[in-house]
Amino acid sequence: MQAFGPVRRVEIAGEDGLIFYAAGASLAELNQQIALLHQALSESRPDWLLELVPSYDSLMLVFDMTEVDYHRVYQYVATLPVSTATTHSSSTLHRLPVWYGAPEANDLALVSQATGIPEADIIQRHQAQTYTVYAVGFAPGFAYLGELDAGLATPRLANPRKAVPKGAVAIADRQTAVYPDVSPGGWHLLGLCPVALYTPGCDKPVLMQAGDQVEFYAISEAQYHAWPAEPEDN
Amino acid sequence: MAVQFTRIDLTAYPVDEGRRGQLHQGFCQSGPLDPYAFMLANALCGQQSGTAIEFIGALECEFQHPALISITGAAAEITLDGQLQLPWQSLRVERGQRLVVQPARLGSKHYLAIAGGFDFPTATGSACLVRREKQGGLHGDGTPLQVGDIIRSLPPGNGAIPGELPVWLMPDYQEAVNIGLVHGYQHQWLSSLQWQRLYSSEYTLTPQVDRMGYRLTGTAISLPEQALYSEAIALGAMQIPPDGQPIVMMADRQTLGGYPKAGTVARCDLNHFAQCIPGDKITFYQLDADEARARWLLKLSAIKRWLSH
Repeated sequence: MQAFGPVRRVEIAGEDGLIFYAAGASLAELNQQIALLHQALSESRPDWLLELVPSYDSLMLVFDMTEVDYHRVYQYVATLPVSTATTHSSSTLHRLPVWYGAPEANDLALVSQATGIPEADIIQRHQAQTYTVYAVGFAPGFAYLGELDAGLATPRLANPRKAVPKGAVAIADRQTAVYPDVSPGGWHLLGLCPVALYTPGCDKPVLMQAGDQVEFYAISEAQYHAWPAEPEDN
Repeated sequence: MAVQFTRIDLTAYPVDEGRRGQLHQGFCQSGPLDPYAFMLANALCGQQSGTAIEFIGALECEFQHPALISITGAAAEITLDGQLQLPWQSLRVERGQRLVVQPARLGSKHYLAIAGGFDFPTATGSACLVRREKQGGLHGDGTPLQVGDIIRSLPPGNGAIPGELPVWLMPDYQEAVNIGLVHGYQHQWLSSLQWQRLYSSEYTLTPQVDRMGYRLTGTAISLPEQALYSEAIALGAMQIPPDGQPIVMMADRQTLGGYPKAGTVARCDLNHFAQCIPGDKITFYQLDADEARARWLLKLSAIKRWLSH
């Protein structure tokens, strides 16, 4: 299938799915194209549309194959007007507190060893960035945030942990994330965040959406344990 | 109406069609492993959909009220108060009757449907149970059915009970299956030699099988090393991890993943693949997306024809 506008490649993802890959020079640009295409399709919402799953540089679309086939879906998306606005005004900014160096989630020494950056500077640099949610997936509420300061980029652990604690703030390559729940994981851990990212059973069980903005700020051990009694520092 | 489960050898849990419009938040799709058997279990109870029980290993239950039920899935010995019953049929059960389902092979999937559907709490729009997400089940926390659990059913709708299921609509599950693969995703990463290896080899299902994915072993498929951002994983997607041994992603697969994918298992063959157990032999053949869709639509229209008789 031919490329068009913001899409560099289209591939089949099953007889009831297509995956669109964005065109762009940087990851930020690729992700922005995906956000715009996602938004356009969410707004037009044709009847046969079942799922839209955005990720870093791709968007998978699942359709009702009793209604349409992939030729029709391709034609629909290729001719869909997509806004080219580069600002996403509707995105939410989340400010997440972190108890850096919490003993249950502390790979600061390992990261310092791998990067040659002192632990205090790692903590400072992790807070210095405003991150974009590039994708939500892997598990409910798990948000892939980018891009991490290039100096902090580390490979994954040689031996993944069987159980990363809930709320662990982690880094890998040029990404950072907060583990919404206990799970296996191979990322390096910097600390713990007391804010729930996934609350099963509630009306809005997942805190973050693709396209949202995230900032981290340091809190003390006492503030972590007292959370959410402390007034939020906004 | 209610049913008490008195014996669960391996596992039993509620399933419906799965989640809709939740994948982008990281919720897996879930739903039945064998969607065809699930769909027909409901059809035999006179309904289009309804929460059923998917189970692996022997199951025993007692009916506290008269009900209309059906049992579908792989081969099993079914008895009602010791009387042998046929699978893939509508069965009327009386109050106090005891149902025993003894699968012929350990690891195959079976469905118990009831007119009206079983009454389970729903979360993210579905009654499906996903343990790692702590969702679903009687207590809504991802705990599967326990011996002693009493599950109520909802009042049946007014759908007509269909006639006997024609033989050609009953799947013939085999221990060696030939499965259609629709090329997609990173299909261009496979050279023609690697495609030849994939299509001319017999793969064996390993014991690493769960509701997330089925891991195969056989001729390794080698791919060029290329960077790939994590992307959405379709139902039946065949991942090729660095060791070259394919993993087919099933109902409870994670929503995003970073392994390259050769394509997806065709929906018309997915039930045969899903019913495989460790040690079973699998070969693949190429099916283009239009043909795969046409075959699935033919299946659906054959069911419709039977139901409208």
